[in-house]
Amino acid sequence: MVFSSYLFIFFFLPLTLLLYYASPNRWRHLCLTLMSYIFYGWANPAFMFLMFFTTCVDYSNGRFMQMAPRHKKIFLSTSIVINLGILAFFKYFNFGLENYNAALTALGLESYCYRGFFRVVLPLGISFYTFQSMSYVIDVYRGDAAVITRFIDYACYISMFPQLVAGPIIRFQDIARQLQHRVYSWEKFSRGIAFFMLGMAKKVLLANPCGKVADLAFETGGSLSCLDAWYGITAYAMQIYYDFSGYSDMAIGLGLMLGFVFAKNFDSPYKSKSITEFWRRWHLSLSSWLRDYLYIPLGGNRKGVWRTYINLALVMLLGGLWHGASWNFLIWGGIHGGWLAFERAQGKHSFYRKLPSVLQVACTFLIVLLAWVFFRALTLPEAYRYVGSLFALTKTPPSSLLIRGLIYNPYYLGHFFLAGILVWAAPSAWDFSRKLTAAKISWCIIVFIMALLTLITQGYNPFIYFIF
Amino acid sequence: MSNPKVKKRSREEIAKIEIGNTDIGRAGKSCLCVFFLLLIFVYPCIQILHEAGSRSPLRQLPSLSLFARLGETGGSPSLMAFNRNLTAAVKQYEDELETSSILQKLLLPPTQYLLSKYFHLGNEKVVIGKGGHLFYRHDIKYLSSPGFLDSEQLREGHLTGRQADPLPAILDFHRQLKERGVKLVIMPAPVKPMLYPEQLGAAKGALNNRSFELFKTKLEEAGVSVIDLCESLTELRGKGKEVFLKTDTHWTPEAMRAAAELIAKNIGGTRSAMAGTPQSLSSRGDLARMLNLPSDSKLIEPENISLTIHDKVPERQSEILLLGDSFCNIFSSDALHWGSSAGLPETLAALLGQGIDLIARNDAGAYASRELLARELARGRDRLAGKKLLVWEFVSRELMEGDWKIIPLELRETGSVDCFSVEQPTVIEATLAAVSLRPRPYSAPYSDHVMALHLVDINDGLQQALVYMVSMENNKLTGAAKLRQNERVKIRVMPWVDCEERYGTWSRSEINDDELLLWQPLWGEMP
Repeated sequence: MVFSSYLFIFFFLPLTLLLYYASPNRWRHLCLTLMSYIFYGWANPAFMFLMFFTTCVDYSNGRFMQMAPRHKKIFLSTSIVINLGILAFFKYFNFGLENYNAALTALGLESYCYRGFFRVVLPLGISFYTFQSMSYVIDVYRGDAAVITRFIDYACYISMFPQLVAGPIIRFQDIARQLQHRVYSWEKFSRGIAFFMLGMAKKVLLANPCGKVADLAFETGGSLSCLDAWYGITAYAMQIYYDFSGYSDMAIGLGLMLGFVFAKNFDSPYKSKSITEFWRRWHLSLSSWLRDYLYIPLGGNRKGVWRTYINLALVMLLGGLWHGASWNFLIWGGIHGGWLAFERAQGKHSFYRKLPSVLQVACTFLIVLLAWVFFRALTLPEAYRYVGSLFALTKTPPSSLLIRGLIYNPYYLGHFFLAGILVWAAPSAWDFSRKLTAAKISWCIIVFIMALLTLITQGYNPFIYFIF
Repeated sequence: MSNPKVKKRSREEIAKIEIGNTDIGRAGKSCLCVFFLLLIFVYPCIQILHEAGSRSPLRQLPSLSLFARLGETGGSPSLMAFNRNLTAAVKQYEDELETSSILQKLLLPPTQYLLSKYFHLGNEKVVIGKGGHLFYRHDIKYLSSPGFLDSEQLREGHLTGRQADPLPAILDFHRQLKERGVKLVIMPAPVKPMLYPEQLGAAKGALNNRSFELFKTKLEEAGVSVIDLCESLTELRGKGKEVFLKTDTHWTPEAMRAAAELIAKNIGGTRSAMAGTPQSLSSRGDLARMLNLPSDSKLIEPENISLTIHDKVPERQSEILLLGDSFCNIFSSDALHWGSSAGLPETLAALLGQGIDLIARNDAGAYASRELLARELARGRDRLAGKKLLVWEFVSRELMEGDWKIIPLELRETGSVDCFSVEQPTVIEATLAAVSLRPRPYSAPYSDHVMALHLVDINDGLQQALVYMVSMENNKLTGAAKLRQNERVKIRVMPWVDCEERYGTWSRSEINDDELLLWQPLWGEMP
């Protein structure tokens, strides 16, 4: 189920709000957990059991740590091995198999290749909830959070539907107190509604039309004209930003409606003047998770200059792999990791820092754009072809030009330029909704109605981060 | 000077402070909450009341039918099957919820009208070209995508569970026919963007998928004749003739006739003087219907065409068998709304001066017609007896998105399967063991659809039957479309042969059970 769907807005959400607020306080976590399991199981009911298993494993390990503090390390290791084992199996089995077959073929041992039909289906949001669940055990191990006693509270934390399948990744230490006590107020609820409305408008009115252009550009397999290629990848950059930040805004809004406060996940990332700054503004919940649970344990910047560079690159490579099992994601992570290390060597500044601010933003955006090619392309050869098309290095088949009749439609062009203007000129949803005046409320309602109309009348509505 | 002992606030602490500082007046708060809550709570109630107006039992109302659907998934043979059925039931519920939404019904046509009129924007299926020609989105994809024989494309196709490579299926079909002494000629029918690329921003000329030349060469090397229509249709267009209908995915009568002439020439048939009855008609094509504009909209005008009706009818004893899809059925079968008895089979028969045998079904050209042929043989009806030539027409886009499964042609004895049969219309009561899929209205190029039902416990006996029924007519779902697995129903059934001529060419979904394919089907209607 997705937030921007008819079913969610008119059936699931009202029913959830009704049951949640009609329940006495002590039943609310149970109510939210049940509704979250329905939300999660909607796409494939079998995966509810996997999430339940992860929940049981980490809840038990937390309790064991409390009962036998001397053996904390064993329980931590058990939890990490099981969580990463599940993640590795579901997310990387197919990738491993492909590479195993490719390696054998390269060695001339084709007869040993696996030719069976067994493939693993990726459960929705597994990367998100596994990281959340691991954060609990690590926080308890480090003493940063107290052990949770009620199983239902923990199940509620892991399964909470607003952030379950596409984040933001909520760390246990940050939400532990809210699980014990939270404040409900109409101010909070209203701001939640504003967040939800703005998020849905971002998703439906901006991300979807840009996504259509990007899909058409990449449908050619990467062989298209130079101009079309730049238009396509810029449209993808707009799509992924509005899609993911719109989803995060909706998640934050739903959280507020249920009394939870989630932290900011995006902070106008395309306004960054360096890649280092970009990662302080993009997918903050993931970058801070990687920093606190990977970069710092690896030694961070405390073990010398070269080790810092290696740690940065390694964390970003793993961050790339977290997004998906393919060489493309590794290369995407590698580009960012390499650039972060490069900027670190220059005192966390870009080499173009002496240019005017506008050009610094443009240069950073260009680097991000080139990296997005690897993120979006389905295969490595397609990514190479696409990069070739960006610099007019590949031959354009005449049939690729057919997409022009679609991507240069005034509707898509209009939305593309609007998305571009808003990316660099509009305030973030947090800033916009801080002071909700009558005019701003009217805007929220207008864009929400427009988004609803578009949603009901148009079929194209993918969510990029669902596949991670 | 900053105090180093002050701990940096976490993102969550900042967020809490930020939310705590929300500045909103009482009126604003009320306005936002009342608007949002009214919208999400009141609309579903209106929808349910609207559905209740149809006087169906409450549990069958689209908005409330979830539990009824979940109940149908009981009795699955394994956990995997249970999960699969559960997922399908949930998906079906969500689809039905959306299609029955009064908001969608009210808003979709006028919104589409505004988008089409002011932005020249089609929808997920239809693209509006520069000169007013409408295009099918999948046809464009066939051309703009990488070659259908590229390893990446084939791999992607396999991952979706279909046999993506057309060559093994065609070569195997060729081999089986050769064993029966029948020559195979294939004719991939072009798609509109191949001949009208300039309407979509590309240069004028004829285009094809990047793998087509390789595909053609490989088949010809294996001894399969391939009729490539591109050149002759480009030539025809050069003479100022339209080769595709403006508002339809299919060709014009002129292009169809050119195709028939090329087939006749290719198979070396004697071309006789064509005689027939001229007829003019006016209609809107499948693409115009898929746009789902308001019924009184004049945005897309009907097209006028001239047909030549021939009196040749399909002849089972002919030496020539034509297998085809909707390119065969257009102008031949009323189901496509462009007249009848003037399509490719009739024109080809008139050109050759002899009747031809025909097996054609709209949609799924990669396998549907071959499957029908195989089923005929399996039921003991030898449609290959006495045949010397088989012409197989399918639309080119099937080369990229079709399921090219290998289908064995095995002739079996008549009546080897015992299933329920009737001589005349009879009302029976039975349980639905399985129901095939039905499309969503306006989601396919065909506005009519036939579904398959597997009936068991007929009249409380042990007999079973395979029944075909209309599930969608003119983009409107029929009562049969609401039938569900495990439901006990009353159906009026009659012999399939009585209705085959009319409904046999319609787009049809089958039940995924090979054994059922051997049964003699019945035709069904709600009593």
